[in-house]
Amino acid sequence: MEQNAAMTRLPLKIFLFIVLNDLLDTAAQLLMKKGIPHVFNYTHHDAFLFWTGLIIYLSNFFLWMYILSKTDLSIALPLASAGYILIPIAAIFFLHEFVSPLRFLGMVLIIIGICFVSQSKINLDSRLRGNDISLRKKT
Amino acid sequence: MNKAFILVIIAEIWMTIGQIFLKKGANHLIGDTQHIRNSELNSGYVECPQLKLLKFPIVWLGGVAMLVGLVFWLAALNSGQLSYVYLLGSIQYIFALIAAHFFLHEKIDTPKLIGTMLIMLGIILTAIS
Repeated sequence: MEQNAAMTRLPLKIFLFIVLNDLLDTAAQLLMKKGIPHVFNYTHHDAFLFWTGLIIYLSNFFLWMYILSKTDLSIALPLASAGYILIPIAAIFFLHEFVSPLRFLGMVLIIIGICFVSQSKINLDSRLRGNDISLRKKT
Repeated sequence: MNKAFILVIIAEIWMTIGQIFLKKGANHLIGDTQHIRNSELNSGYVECPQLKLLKFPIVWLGGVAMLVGLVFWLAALNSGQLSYVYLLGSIQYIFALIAAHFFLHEKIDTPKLIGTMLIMLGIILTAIS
């Protein structure tokens, strides 16, 4: 019981790690999207951006595993779904993509859905052993 | 159905296979936890149970499946807008719910069901946007 209570708190350090995880995911997806058309042209500047993005993406997987080992998924997952807001916004500013109101509504529904999924009570007993497969962040 | 949509589906199927394999591997450790605690108390040094995962071939298979998924994900990124591809990627929550139910016998309760339906609705809106 004591251990469960300790797990449900969110230490500042872990909160900052989750924020870092969101920011790194956004950076990785942006860099990979930017660089992939030129990935096989090694002299091109964007190819370098792609490989940087890929390294960030792969390291982020291990950061996420570390976060999951330290806190509860019902806390970590809704915070981590910030990527679903950050990435479309980053796509508007850095890639000049057009996000229609319909797509924006889709984004809001996905985030609310993730918040619901993460509150499943079935997952309580699996806290200590990591995460329930249907409840993890998309990678 | 456009190319990016199909590539995201293929990528997320591979990612889900990878997650199922990793979870099956991780399940090997659950029974071990108490044993590990005792051996730590006896031996006086702390083991890292996560490193033991590397002993199981299914964990390596899971890693390979996720890398295959990553290749398809990159192909999807190459053929569609980032905001479109990334939002569609949340279809993994739906695949995972179904796969976890059939292959890991995990239960589905009301919050999971409502949440997954909202995600599905969000994906449909994104797909037609």
